[in-house]
Amino acid sequence: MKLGIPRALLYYDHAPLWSTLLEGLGFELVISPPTNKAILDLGVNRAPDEACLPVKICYGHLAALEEKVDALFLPRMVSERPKTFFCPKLMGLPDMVRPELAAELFSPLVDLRRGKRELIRQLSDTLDRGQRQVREALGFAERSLNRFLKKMQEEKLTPLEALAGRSLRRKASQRQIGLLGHPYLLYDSFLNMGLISFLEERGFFPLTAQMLPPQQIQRCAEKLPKKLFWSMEAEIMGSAIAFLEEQVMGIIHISSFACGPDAMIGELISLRAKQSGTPLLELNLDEQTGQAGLQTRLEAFLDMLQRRCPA
Amino acid sequence: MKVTFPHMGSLAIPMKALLEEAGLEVVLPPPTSKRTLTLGSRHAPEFACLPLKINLGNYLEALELGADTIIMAGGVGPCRFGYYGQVQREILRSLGKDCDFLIFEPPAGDFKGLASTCRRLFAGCRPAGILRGAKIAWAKARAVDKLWQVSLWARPREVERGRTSKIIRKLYHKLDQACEMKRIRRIVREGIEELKSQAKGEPKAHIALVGEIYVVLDPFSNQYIEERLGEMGVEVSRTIYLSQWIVHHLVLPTFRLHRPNRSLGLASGYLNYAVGGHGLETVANTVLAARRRFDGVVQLAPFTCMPEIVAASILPRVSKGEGISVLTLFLDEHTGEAGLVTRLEAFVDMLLRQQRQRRQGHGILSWA
Repeated sequence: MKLGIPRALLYYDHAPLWSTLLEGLGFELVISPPTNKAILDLGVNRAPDEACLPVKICYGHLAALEEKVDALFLPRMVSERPKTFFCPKLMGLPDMVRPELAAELFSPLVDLRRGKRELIRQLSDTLDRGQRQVREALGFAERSLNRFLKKMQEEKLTPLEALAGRSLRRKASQRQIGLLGHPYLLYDSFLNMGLISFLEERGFFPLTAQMLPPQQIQRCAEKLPKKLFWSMEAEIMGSAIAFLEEQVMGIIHISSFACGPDAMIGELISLRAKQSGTPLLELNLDEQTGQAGLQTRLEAFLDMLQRRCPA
Repeated sequence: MKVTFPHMGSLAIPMKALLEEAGLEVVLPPPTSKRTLTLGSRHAPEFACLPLKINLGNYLEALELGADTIIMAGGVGPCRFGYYGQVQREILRSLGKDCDFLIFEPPAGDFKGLASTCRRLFAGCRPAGILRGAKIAWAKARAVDKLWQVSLWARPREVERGRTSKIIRKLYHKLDQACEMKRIRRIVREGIEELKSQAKGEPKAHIALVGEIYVVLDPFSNQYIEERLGEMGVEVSRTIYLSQWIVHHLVLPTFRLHRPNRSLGLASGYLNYAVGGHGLETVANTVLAARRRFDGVVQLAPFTCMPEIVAASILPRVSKGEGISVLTLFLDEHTGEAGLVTRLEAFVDMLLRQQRQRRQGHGILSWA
């Protein structure tokens, strides 16, 4: 059976987990191509106007896959650890997209507050495989996810580089720039118009949450007066505080237009950056973002950083 | 200590009673106005939802009047409301406003935090006063909702345009002044009588109001939509009331008496998961309105509200599947009066046309 996985949303966080699991269970996987103009247009046409850019992109990836596969895989992501949630839109996404799709949709409930046994039961129900088989495959999958996370962190790689098996050890330099934002914006080079390579070509070293030790991020996130109940935002907030501790040259925060949770932590981040005197550039992406405008702002920001501390 | 809290519809009537009976000095923020919204939007994050901005404006105006302690509720997510207090506190601090910010977090199994916040607020208050305050506040909350419900029934039937709104304003003022249980009961009894006695006509249509709790409860933030619809001759049924929300979300869960709401099952097949806030309720209530043969549904939500975006993207399908017309209104500080009124009028016109066609037995659109 051919199963399609959209290269959107949490793909950049969980790719090896789902691909190892599903291949282990005997599915043939088709992953949608990197985002392009056609996918963006498909998504914008299908998705509701009020949805944010990453959700629209996900609609586009699903649409690009639906003809080529027997079924699509889009889990209902609710929670990955106790007392935390994903964004409500991710919880409702399977119900939002299902009626539009030509292919069947597999959307197991991923709610780890209820424990792993429940997850195994969910996967075995939706994928029609035995529980024991799922448990075994999930074990492998988790190990491969952990290897992936460790590789990114130790070798300072982006998820795509780690997935491609690249092993360049990035040289840490003085000219570090902290990149904040959801992985689906940071690593989708179509959406952010090649931000990471843009920085590298100009001799800056981009540092992201995925390249920091998780313990450090967690310790930093706990400095907030109240723990954030969105796990993805807790990671962004924690890495922001970590970047300030590490004294990066500057911070770039990328968010999508009208992102709900980001609006809340964006304010906390900018207040903290101001206090510590670290330059912060906030970029907002939507389907109308133009390359010229984005690059002008980036270049101006980089020029300013260079003037502040000439190499 | 001069205590203040944000407005949400008529929340101030029971809240003020509770705090004053307990012996605290209350400084009410001035009624929410254009100025409140401007102040709030200036200092709040651009994409924060409307309630956060209005709250912030309320605080700033109350601080101008000398308040020094702000009371706010918390939450456990995934709706952003649960983190309002923390963000608002940091914004006020960055503006150099010096005040205490007490956030009441829901216990979620741990009463220590809640108890210590209560102790800080009610330090030096007599327990008897607090109990009496709670009793009167609860009576007032129920009275406010009861009168509002009757006013929604009476307004489309009123003989003299605008009379119902005048009466309800007068009644709320009386309720606010009242401080004995007997008097509150009398105001409700006589109020209902007065509202009903001036209602003679028949409403043209029946609309259910669904959506996010703050913008449904707060007439300023929804541009007085209930009054506007009522005066167009439309009976509005609101699906959320403050007192009912208190029972379902504060009282019952605290004592672990959570009653599953059976009507939520109506949403299954359209939305199969509670997505936080009132997202699932919005979908379920729309289905319910269709089954109860309402003419239409209006969904209200603040711009960028995540649970309501999920609901809004599902409602077109509910509309088709259940055969009910739905108007979704996203509200923010840029919402203009004229634009909203035009859309409401067009929606009501459409409902009336549908009614005529149904009566004449036309299944299809005609120019008649």
